[in-house]
Amino acid sequence: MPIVAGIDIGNSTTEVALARVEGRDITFLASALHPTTGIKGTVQNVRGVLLALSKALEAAGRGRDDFRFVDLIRLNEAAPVIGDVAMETVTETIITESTMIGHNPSTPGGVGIGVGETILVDDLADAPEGKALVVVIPASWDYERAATALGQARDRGLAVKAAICQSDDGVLIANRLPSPVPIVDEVRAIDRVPLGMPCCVEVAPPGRVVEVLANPYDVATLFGLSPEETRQIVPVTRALVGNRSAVVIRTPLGEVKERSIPAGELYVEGPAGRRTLNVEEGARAIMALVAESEPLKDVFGQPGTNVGGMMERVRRTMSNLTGIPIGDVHIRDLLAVDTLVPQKVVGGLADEFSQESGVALAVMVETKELPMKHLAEAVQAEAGVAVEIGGVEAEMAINGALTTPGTKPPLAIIDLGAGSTDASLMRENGTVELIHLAGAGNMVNTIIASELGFDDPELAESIKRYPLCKVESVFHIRQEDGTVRFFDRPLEPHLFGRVALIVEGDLLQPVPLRTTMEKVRQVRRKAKGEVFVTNAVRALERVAPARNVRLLDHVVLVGGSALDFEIPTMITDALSRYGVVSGRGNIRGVEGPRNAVATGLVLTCRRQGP
Amino acid sequence: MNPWCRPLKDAPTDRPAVTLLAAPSVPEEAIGALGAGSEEEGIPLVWERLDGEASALAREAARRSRLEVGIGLDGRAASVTPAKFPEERGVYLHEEGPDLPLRWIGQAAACLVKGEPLPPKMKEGQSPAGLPVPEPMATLEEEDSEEEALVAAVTRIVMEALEKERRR
Repeated sequence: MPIVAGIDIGNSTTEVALARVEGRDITFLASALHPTTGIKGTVQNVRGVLLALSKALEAAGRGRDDFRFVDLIRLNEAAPVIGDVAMETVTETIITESTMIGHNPSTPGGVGIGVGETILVDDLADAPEGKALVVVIPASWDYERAATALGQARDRGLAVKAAICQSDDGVLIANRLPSPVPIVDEVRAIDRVPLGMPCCVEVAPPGRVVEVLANPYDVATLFGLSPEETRQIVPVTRALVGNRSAVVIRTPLGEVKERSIPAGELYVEGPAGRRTLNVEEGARAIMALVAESEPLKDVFGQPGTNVGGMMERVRRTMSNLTGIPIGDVHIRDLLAVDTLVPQKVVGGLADEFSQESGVALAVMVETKELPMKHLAEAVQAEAGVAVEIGGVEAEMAINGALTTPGTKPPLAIIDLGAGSTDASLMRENGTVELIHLAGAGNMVNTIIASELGFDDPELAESIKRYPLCKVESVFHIRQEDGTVRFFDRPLEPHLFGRVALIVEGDLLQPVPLRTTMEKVRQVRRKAKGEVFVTNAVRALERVAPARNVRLLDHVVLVGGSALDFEIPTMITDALSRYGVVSGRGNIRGVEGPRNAVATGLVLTCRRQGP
Repeated sequence: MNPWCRPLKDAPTDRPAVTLLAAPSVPEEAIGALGAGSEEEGIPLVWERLDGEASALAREAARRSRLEVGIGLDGRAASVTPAKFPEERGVYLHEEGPDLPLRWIGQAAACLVKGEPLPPKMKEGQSPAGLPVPEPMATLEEEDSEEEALVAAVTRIVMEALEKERRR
């Protein structure tokens, strides 16, 4: 009664299917999964393999270290592909002609527009009469004192038109003036505000956004700019769009030094030779070039640029992991997605961010072979069980996927993983074709993190994985579909008023960003669509007969990302336009989209015999 | 008289406001500091003297408030609570100790009314006027860009060498 364990080492999880194989009869005993340790295909995987196997043994009612119970371990012949992702910013806002403050404090004071020369509140006493002034108030002045100073200055005939203040005191000061002026507050770098310079402060009424300072011609009018200078002010006005309050200060040329990073050129090598494209042309142009150059031989980036650095980093990582010389590591696929990246404005005074356009790139690296033999030997030595390397991963995955009720060959599967999106097709005659595409779950995380402007990979993973809600009161939340849910117990103060993730049942995780639920949802769905839907179609086009997706009947989605609460429906929706039946797989009718390869490894051992 | 923070008896009864009940031992400056917090958020506050302990005062204040949010302040603690908060669970926010973040309490009460996230907490005196902690936005760290530059330089050298190799 041989016991066989099929073990699939993926980019992010290691999955086990444990079964008793008696001739043609196979009884599955247990399944388990554990996060993959190290990069797939390397000896570091052994620990994850053993932990996953222990879990399966435990689930089958054996001891955790009862490895001898297993007669044979079958490992997948992992496809020698590894994905990597990077962001490339194409544009950058640099302010040289003027200085601006456009950081959107939650409570600016007063309403309207004030134009004048900047002056420190300490110097008000010596200011000449009649000049229009914008008063700069450091945090050392509390609001009572500042308001009194401003009031006295007015009494002496000074024209105080607006104020810029460091603490969160805008409303407090404005409320204490005989006639309020616009006040922008929470300007942290107040000491960097140039003094004695012409300046304009605008605070829009609640619910509105600045109009004058967001319009280049209005700024030109205020400061008397020439057409050439007006052109130079555009980055400033663009960065202020959508803010409730803003400040623009005209400074002598060259106060902020210019610095620019070239985005770089991409060199794509295909059957027709090497072609060049500038990354600035955007994702659409890059993808068109990739499609024309299929099958890709390799991709390089222009040396000395960001994109060049990224391509080489991928190669170096792969080379280090596998011991293959860097020259033998080839990039075989590339997925580019246009993104908006909040970038710190160079020359801003309050940590302003501007939405710059960027390109997210995922690449797929192929090497000659992953050192699976070393891994198999290491597992054998550690567990004391015979280990063999099963067939090709794609074939295993298809065999596993075919255990989904309602499927039959010809069958295509799309494996939505973390590092890559793989597709394979089993024809009626049993032959299997396989392709690997760059871009999967990790790329979605990268896009989410960069578009929402944070760099915590765990938060990105959570935002991808869980639906959103807004905590509207101490006792209720509004979910992203608009429905309201009440709670028996009061929601914690750190959740109050925030956008949060519904992790599980009543467990909420706050999203520590100043953003709306709609924005997070839109970013999340766009990232998933542009990576997974694009790749699903791209993948099927590559394996479908005559590259025609319509000729496929059944498409089964498997892999970790197929567990997602919306990716499978997004793909099903997109593929229904081609008349294809597609949906999330249900391996052995019980496993859902998980365990396909591991199951396939066990099933194929029946044919080959242990 | 500041219309944003005044005694209940001086305030028009129909105007919505957060209610603060302060124990007799509480100095008026403390009430002013608390009022500044809610004023900056645009929510008026009315106050009255009543003897009691902070959380009991907060519950009573919430019942009296048209905005259904009350603040209780005694000599050593401050509490904020919405009117419908279950009594057996105490109060929603409670702060105690020698340096009460009074302005923060006022702000938090106003945010509770507005349904907005509570402001980041700052101990009074730690920063002159309670400058907000920056939201965790991605910032380009100097180290990173230096490292990137180094990587780019090394990459360039390696690429040039490879290119030469290839040409040969």
